[in-house]
Amino acid sequence: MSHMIEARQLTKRYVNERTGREVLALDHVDFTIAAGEFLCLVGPSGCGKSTFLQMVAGLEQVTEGTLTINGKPIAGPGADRGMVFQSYALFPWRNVIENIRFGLEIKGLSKAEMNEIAHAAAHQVGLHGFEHAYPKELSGGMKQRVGIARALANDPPVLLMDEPFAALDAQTREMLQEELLSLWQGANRTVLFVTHSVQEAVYLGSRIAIMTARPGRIKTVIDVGLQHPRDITAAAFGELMKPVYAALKEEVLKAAVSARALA
Amino acid sequence: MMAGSDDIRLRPRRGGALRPAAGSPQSRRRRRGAADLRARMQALAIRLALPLLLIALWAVAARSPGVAPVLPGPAAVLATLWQMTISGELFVHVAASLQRAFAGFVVAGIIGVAAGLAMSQSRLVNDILAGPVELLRPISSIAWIPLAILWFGIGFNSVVFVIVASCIFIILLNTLAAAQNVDRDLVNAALTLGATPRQIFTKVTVPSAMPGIMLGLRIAMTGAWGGVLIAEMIATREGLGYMIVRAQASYRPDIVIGGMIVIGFVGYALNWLFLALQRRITHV
Amino acid sequence: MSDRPNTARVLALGALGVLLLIVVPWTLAVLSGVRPIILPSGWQLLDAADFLMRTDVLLHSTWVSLVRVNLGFLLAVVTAVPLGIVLGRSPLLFAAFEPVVESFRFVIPFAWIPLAILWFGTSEFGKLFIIWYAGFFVLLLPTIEAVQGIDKDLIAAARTLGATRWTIFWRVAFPAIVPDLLLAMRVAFAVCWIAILAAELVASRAGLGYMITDARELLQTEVVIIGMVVIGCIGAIYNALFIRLQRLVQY
Ligand SMILES: Nc1ncnc2c1ncn2[C@@H]1O[C@H](COP(=O)(O)OP(=O)(O)OP(=O)(O)O)[C@@H](O)[C@H]1O
Ligand SMILES: [Mg+2]
Repeated sequence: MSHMIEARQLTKRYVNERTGREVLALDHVDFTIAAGEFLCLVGPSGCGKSTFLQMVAGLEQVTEGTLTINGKPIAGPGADRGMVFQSYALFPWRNVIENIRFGLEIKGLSKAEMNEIAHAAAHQVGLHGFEHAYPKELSGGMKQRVGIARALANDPPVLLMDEPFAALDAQTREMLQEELLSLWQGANRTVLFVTHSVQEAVYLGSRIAIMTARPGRIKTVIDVGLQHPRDITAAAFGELMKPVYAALKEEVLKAAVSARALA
Repeated sequence: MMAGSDDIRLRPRRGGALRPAAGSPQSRRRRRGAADLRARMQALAIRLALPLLLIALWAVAARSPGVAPVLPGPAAVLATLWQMTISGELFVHVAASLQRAFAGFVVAGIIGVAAGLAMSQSRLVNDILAGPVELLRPISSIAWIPLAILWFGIGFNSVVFVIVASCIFIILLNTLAAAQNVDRDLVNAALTLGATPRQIFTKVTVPSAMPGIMLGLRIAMTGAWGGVLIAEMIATREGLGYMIVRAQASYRPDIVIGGMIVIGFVGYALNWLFLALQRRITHV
Repeated sequence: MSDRPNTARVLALGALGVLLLIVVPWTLAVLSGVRPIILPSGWQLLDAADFLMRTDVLLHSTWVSLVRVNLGFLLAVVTAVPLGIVLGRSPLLFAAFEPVVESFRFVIPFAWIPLAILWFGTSEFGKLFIIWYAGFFVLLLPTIEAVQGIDKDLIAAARTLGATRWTIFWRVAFPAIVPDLLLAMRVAFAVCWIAILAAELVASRAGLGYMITDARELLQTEVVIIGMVVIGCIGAIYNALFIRLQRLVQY
């Protein structure tokens, strides 16, 4: 069962603890993410994409407005919202299987159950044969597979991904995109995916939300009407990328101008 | 010549007293072809040259009339060591020193790690303990010896007290720093996997602080070994420290130098053991 | 969680901690009739401090220890740093010296005290030797590592700009290792300070180490505690001085 996420007049202000200065990261955001959709979030750097994701995860507090999941306000982090980090965030003292098992240990499953699920998840993301390797022995792509498997092992209805493939080389990224899509299609799961790559957004998303320069708002939402598997060389694909590019470019320029004005 | 020096640079460095182990297991296990044999022999010769030269100098100096009474030669020292080994005397002293060092180290380890972890978890505990810690920390361990004797008399308790004083703060501060510097993303990852604050502590904070804690313990172990020696010189009737001061008083330089060699050897062995243990516990 | 430590709160809680963990137990012990040999009261401490100041025992002991530790430390710096720079630059010499350095490193300075007495008696030379030895190895290894860690590109860049070897050393290499050197010097001084006290405890007729061990034999616990306070203060002052220096060169 997948979940719907709703932001109403959602505002986030950070207070810098040393200088006492306030930063308005998100400004009255109204937005709904439908259950089961693959939503890609793009926007200029510093516009509040990570902030939004962290608030959905429950890692950051809401300043004003409401943020609900299936109608219930988000009070804190929980196992129903899995997260995949750009920095992988693997536990270096645990091997692959032990990393994947982390959430299951928290749930208090029996050892047999844990191992079964963890091995299945490892298999699913192509980590077969690496179960007992430690993170430092893995390549970036392998590490992110572990990160994804760890989140999936918990079977969360919502999956939050903050630029998960940004640090990977192009080939690995394409492979993982492919695998992520098949994982999403198999299970009815809501995915919120932050990226800087327009092509990645158009390739993966069922919808693309473009954010404004800071303070972040949702500028436009674009429906990607293409069926999976998508062909990035097809003309229709290129046509879809154009409006996303245009909107993003406008905001990136705005961000640059306001940065210059501040300096 | 160049091949030789390059080869030397490839050798993994052993961990210094203030640093974690260097060199991954892979580089340690690096296999070399037979073609490298010459270069390896050359490197070995370079490494052995200076120690052999020093030992030769020592032997020569020990024969010169002016120095001989206070500097027995290598052979005489080894003979004395051998003598003391078969008589069992050396073993008694080494065992006594090790026992005390170990007792003090364990006590300091338990208190230091526990206090460090508690300080990392609670701002209040941190601020309250910071006062006494900052006040007592600068007092060097040596300065506690006279007070320890006044409090506990000559013997085991005094020595253990001094050892605790000499290593507890290193352990505490290393633990605190390690437990405070846990990667924020790791904590966040655990939170999104459903961990409670308590589980964060046991499953994230403690394991991630482990290398730092181990480093503190290893530095402290060197401190404990030094502490036991100096305390034994003053506050006991057995142990390696006592053995060498008594030998000095009874004018036995062979025992003094032999004792120093044993002290160095045991210190080296302890360090090696600790590193081996550390590699087994932490995989980082 | 806050980055800005609330100074007033920290000081107040720190004082509270000192009160709860040191002052209160001490007072209770004194009130419950512990003998002054175990724990003297605050008044007895003040009396003893007053006496020590009037007879200049304390000042003289402090002076003697300070002179020794500074001399020995300087000796260690002027020997260890140049040698460290040479060994850091030459892999061959480093390979030759490493086994010796590694072996001596484990023979802790305290172990040399009896031999130093045998060789030099209780003369100043023996004490200087112990301090030098203690500081030497603590300085040598970080110096070597600092030199080995100098960015090769930096040197190459300076060379392409036409700098001579001498300029490269003084204008590029040396500044690059100064922060590491200062850190090593801070640690080394602390080690020297411990070493001189140890040497004075075992083999001396003067200095702070001698003062507290002599007071112990005379069962003057007040003097022992005052000595400990002075020892702690000197250690803390030098530590703070080195930290200041380190901040100066942080670029
Ligand atoms: N913990 C924090 N304290 C203060 N300000 C913060 C904090 N986290 C983020 N900010 C500020 O909030 C704004 C939004 O940051 P956020 O990380 O959400 O941007 P982003 O869209 O994810 O950027 P990027 O694309 O570079 O990752 C930025 O201006 C940032 O400086
Ligand atoms: Mg971000």
